[in-house]
Amino acid sequence: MSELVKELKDLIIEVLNLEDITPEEIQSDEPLFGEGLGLDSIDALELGLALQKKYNISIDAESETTKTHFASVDNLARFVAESRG
Amino acid sequence: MLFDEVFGYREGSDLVCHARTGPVSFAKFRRRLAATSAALRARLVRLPSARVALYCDDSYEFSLLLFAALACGAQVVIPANNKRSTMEHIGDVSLWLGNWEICSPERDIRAPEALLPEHKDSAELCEFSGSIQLFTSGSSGEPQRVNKTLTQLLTEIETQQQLWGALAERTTTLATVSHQHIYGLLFKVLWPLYSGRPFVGKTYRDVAALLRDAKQFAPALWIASPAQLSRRIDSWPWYLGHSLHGIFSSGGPLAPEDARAVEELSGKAPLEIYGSTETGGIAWRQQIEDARWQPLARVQVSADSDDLLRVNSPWLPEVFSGQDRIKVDVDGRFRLLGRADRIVKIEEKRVSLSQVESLLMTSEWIVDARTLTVKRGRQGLAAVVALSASGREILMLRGRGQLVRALRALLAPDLDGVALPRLWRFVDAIPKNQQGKSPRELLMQLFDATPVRMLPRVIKREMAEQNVRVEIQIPADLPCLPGHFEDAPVVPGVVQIDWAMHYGRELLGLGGRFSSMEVIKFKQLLRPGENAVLELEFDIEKNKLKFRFHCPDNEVGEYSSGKLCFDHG
Repeated sequence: MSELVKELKDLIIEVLNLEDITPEEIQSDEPLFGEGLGLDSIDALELGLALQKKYNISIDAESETTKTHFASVDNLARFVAESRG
Repeated sequence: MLFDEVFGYREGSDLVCHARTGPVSFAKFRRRLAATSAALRARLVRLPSARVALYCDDSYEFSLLLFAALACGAQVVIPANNKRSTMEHIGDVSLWLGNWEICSPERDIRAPEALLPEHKDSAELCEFSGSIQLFTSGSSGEPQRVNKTLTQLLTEIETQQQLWGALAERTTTLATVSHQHIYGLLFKVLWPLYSGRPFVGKTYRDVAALLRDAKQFAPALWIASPAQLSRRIDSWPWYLGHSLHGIFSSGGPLAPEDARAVEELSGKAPLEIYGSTETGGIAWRQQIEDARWQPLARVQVSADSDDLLRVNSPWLPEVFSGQDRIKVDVDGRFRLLGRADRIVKIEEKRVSLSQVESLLMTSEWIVDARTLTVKRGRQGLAAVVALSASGREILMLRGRGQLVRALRALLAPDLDGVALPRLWRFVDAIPKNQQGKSPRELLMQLFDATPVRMLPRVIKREMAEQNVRVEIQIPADLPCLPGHFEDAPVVPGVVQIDWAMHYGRELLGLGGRFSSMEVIKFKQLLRPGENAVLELEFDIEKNKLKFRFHCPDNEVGEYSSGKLCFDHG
């Protein structure tokens, strides 16, 4: 799991071209959107695409649970792990 | 406006909307509208010319509240978002309708549920006498109020209907854009209502889900924008595109490659609408056929002597002069040449660089700020910031990442996410040329520097007036290492010089152009996994940056050193 958490942090930085932050500086439980890391709606789109491409998982952006999955890196890791089966 | 002029449904059983709670027939819609309006009228009874603000996530709730308020004769203010600064900008209103971020009793915020009693006898509505106030798209930039009458909006809808009526016939409207902007308001809500077609209440965020629902509700129309159409995955069920009769896109021009790719994937070439909050729809194109814009029927488009857009149409009170530069061909079609002011468009949102700068300068850490657009993956905002003494202290004590976070948090309440600067450069003074100006090219030099994945990991930074000490670790996965050399990777000398330049520009705010190097020495190999210290010292008079990479624990053990010279001005 911690391997996946690290992988996701790297992915977030790479995909979103975040230059002012290192993987270590992203706290696994902090909010990705709004406060915390402060990602925006377009970042959500791009991160969703990257996850779908990399892990071949489907994301239903309509469902309420999707919001929960994208709340933090920890949640995202859990979601990816479960979705991959 | 009379009820029948607004709604085009014939039977009570006609479907108006696929709402969260299920399908809504015209009969039900009418009942709910009458009940909502009665509830609202009771609240506004002592306010003959009421002004109400309306924000909803859901288009079904939105349309009920909109027409209920219009039936009460209110002016309905429809802002782009429900942020704090937007509420302040809207000012005095009698009621806050819908979903608002900040709840306070004195603000009198009504959630839609509170105004939607399920069963209540109330008279059927027959007329809408209120008006609408929109804001220029955006997230920032002193949004301008734009007043509209329902008649104006529906006059445009009538023109759109004449053009696309056959295409739209029997379709269900699905949208990935919000009705809080004029394009969504017209195409997602008013047009289906006017032509008696159903729409889906929610706003889709996931194109795959939209395509699946398009099949379910086929035939369908997709009201889209470049933000989604430019971000695609081929494995989405695009083959369901055959359920779509059309894909509309507005908010900004679609890149040619995106238009082509969407057509290849879905079988539908996007139909683009050019317009603005002020003007409503102006022109359209299907750029695969012709990249030029064709004015809509009854719309006059011309360019003034500065190439600036002038437009008049039956849904405008007077000729409108815009800040888009255009070139009109003899056949009346035209091309867009770009903006003439300091407003930039990022992901369909107008962003005023001046506003972002003045917001930044409210911080006690900042004495001066400039913003510009920079493309790094996607188009985004970049900020060059001159720090005050207290700002530099924060930078030294808490580090760059924390300072950036704090500044983004400062801006967040007032700006939409896309308007928050993504790239930051902290300098002592904003670079200026000899004329005292800071042209884009000069500022861009600060961003041309090294991409972040090419840099070492920074462990610690210490800064003084013209000195910097950066403790770094060399990651094993630096892109410069593979092949240099096969079995014994070392950090190339040119990369070390690049790092010195990068941190010099970033931490000491060097603005000049690099001109030459002096006394460059490479003494021992710098290998991945190792820690090193980079010391920089800037000689202002000579405009030279002295650098030295050495071992952290042994001040003497040196990897490399030299001087980088810059042009004055």
